[in-house]
Amino acid sequence: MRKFIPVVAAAALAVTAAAQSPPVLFQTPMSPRNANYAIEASLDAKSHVVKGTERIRWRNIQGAEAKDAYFHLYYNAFANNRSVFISESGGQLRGDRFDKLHWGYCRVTSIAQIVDGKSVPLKQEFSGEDRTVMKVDLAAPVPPGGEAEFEVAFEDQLPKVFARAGYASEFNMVGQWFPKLGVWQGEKGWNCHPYHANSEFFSDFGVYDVTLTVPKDYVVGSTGVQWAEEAKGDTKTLKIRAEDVHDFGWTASPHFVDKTETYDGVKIRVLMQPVNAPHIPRYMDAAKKTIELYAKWIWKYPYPQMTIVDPPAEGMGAAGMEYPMLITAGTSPFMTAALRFPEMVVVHEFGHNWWYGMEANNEFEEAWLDEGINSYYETRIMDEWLGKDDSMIGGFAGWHLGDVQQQRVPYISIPDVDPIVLDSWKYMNNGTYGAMSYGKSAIVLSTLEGILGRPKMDEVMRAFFNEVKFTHPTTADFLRIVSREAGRDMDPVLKPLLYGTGTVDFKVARVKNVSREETEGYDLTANPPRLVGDEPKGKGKEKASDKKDAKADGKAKADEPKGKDKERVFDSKVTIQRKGELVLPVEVLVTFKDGTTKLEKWDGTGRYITYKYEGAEVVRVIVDPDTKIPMDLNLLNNGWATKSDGLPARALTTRFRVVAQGLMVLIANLL
Amino acid sequence: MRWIEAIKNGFLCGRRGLLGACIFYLEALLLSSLALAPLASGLHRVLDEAPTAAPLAGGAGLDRLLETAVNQPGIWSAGFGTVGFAFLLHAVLALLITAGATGLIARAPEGSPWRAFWRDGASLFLPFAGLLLMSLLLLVAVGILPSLLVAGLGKALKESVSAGAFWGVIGAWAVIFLLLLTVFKGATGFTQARRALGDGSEGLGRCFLGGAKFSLKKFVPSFGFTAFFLLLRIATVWGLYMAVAPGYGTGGRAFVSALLLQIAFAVQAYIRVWEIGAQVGYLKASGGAYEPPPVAAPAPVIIPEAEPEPPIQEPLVTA
Repeated sequence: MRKFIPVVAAAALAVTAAAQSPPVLFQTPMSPRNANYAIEASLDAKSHVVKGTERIRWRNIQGAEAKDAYFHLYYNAFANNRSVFISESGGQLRGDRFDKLHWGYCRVTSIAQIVDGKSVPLKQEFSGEDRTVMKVDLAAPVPPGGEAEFEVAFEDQLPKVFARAGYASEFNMVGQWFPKLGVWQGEKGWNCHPYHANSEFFSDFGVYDVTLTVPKDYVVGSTGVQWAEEAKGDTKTLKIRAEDVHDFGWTASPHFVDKTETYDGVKIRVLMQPVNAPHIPRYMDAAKKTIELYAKWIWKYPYPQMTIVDPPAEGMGAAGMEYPMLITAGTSPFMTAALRFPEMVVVHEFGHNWWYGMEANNEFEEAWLDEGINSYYETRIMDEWLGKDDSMIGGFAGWHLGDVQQQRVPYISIPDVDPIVLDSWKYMNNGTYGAMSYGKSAIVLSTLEGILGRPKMDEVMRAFFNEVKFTHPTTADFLRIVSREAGRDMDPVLKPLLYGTGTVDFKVARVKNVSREETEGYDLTANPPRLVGDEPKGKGKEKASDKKDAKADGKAKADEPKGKDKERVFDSKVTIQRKGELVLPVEVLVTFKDGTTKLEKWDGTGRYITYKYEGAEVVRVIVDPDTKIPMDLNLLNNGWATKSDGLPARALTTRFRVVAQGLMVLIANLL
Repeated sequence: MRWIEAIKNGFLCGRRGLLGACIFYLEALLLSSLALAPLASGLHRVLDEAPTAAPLAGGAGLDRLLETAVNQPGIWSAGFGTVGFAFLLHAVLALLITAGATGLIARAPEGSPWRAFWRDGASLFLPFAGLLLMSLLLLVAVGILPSLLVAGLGKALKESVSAGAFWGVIGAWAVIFLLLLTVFKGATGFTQARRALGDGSEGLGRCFLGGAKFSLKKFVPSFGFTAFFLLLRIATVWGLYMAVAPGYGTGGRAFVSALLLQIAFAVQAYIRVWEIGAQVGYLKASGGAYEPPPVAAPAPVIIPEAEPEPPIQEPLVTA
């Protein structure tokens, strides 16, 4: 059925373009469609002002009457330094700095409610100095199941690109640009937070019919599908429709290189900066891989189109952002093929069309539900596609880095400052917000996969997505569905990970190999008992009292004949310690001198566990050999072996010396 | 082309300065090894006993390297604490070695080259430091205009620039960089050569002006020298590094990689001496060396021919 939809959509597009009425993209709505927008807007390319009107049809799908309505006016975050956003961010975000010479705003010039066919003006109210949230008292309250219709006229001054949107020279990234309803939660009221530095967005699904007027030579990309275009003088007007989405973003620039391909029924359109045009295939390949693997693991991409926008170097603040059916990526001519950042950004932002786009969680309050789950799937796609050790850096000057490893980096740097589940504005800073919502969340899910196994994890996540798609799920929904699908209560594992700041560090605490020949004292099997120590001791007699001694013994014995080793019997003890508050199960791989191995499974309860063996000497112990628990803060103490290996340190030192020596040679050559 | 001839001769001249090349190479090797010794020891302490560190040998698992920074930050602070000092020391030593090598090549002294190297190094060190400072000042003065040009080109890199145009601009930047490098290297190299070839009687300022003037007058050869040796250096290091970098993964190949890199650095050291030889030779052949003014011979003193003294007449003695 889903395969059928794009065909229907394509046919509908062809017919309706001729008939000049919007097409129907989905015969059966996928979402509640309770917040529908018909917007007409025009861009003044010189002043970067967007003027528009919108007609909003909103249906109350909650069980309580709505007497007022709240709207987001996101661009007012950039109106002055009194806004919550600028106050919190200090004008800096994601490595970008706000240009205080180019402020922006969203001004509602009029708002009215249509009551009995008449337009009744509504009074705008604001709370405090931040004007990113506007309240109106309704002229006619909306009962459960009832509808309200608003007419709004607005004017946006785009700021210079900062925090996802704005303009840079002739490039315009127009996101979060129209007055937009918050989410009505019945008895809990409206969920409509101010625009915070760390927060993203939250809104209801609907149908968007948007008419955009731009200069004639501008290339436009947007959420939805364009179904009509009409030129008039120096301008052109585009008609666009999107269904079952909760936002609408668009971009316009006269300089885009416009390239389109179709993959698995989805039209992939790349709007590229000319300078980056050679990287179009990289974006395309990443988009195709995302479509392919999400269809396999979660759900087929249901929309007929995806537009990927490449911002210019001076507008990189707009890079790496998601909108329904439209994402922004980011690359540079210097980004060699071994550096997989452009691919990763496309995979990540495209993935948001599932996690945020269709699973429309409240990003203000539980950002991990989209950022974290999406980051987890980003690591999976990148690893599956490019290899788990090469998915971020694939051999650049001999260095390699996988995406899971990359996600671990912020987590192990600041593992316990904030919990994952937290209102976005309550994090200590943007760094902990990022480390928790992206890195640690992805690592938590990788750990969950390690516990459940990939097949079960896939079942769980598929069930979760299918149950919550086109709704507003919460962490409680996630926990409920995971436990149900896993067939066991996963709360004891997941709640501390999501709500707590505890950490875990497994380590090999002690390994002891004691040869049976070492018996001391009286041999009671002899008659009369004799003191063992009185006899000449066997060659190679040893006693390993601790980990260090065992290592020395192992080294000493390494050169002995194998036949003799086989005859010797050891009593060995391996002690694994769990540091930190988190209780997680872990595997331990023990290797014996005769080449046999044993995989132990410890449920992680207690502070340590000791395994006892009889037979061949233990020569190597690895805790979590397949790195199923990437939550482990220190992987370097997860191993023990009788033979030390100086190669990693030597190789690293050589690399550093090459750099140091190279710089010294450079200096000598300049003097 | 006299400057190409000079490059050829410089290679042979460089052979004369093999001692200088060896000292250049060994100094960088020893100093970098000493500077990184604490880091190396720290890494061995942490990683040798950790079987899970194995991927790091092949340049993979960088998150584990970060773990060492998080869990044992002392390794890195101690490790890099010595590096800054080592680089400062290196700057001084490298200038001393440059002075020694230039003296050895320019003066071709008789006797022990080892002693001559250090003697010339010591005597030319301070003048070379002064000349280097003047070259830097010249670079700043000359660099203002191209820097403005670079800034202008950067501004021109708007979204409408095509990939071809972008790389064209990058190429223009490279040319500007090369021109500035030429000015700097020419001024430094030729003034150093002039000083080493001279007898030390020329004032430092005059020496610098003479060398700089020479490098500007012979700009094309100077540019040729810079471009030739720069390309040679880039080819040696970059090519070899890219070729051997993947080899770090396994024990044997790691050793071969490290060995090849050391050979590359030794070649670099020789290139430096070669460059000095070429500059000295070209300066000499093109008449750029300082010629001390001839010492004026004292005016001949004309001694007037003495009047013949009248013969002393013996008094007649009569009896």
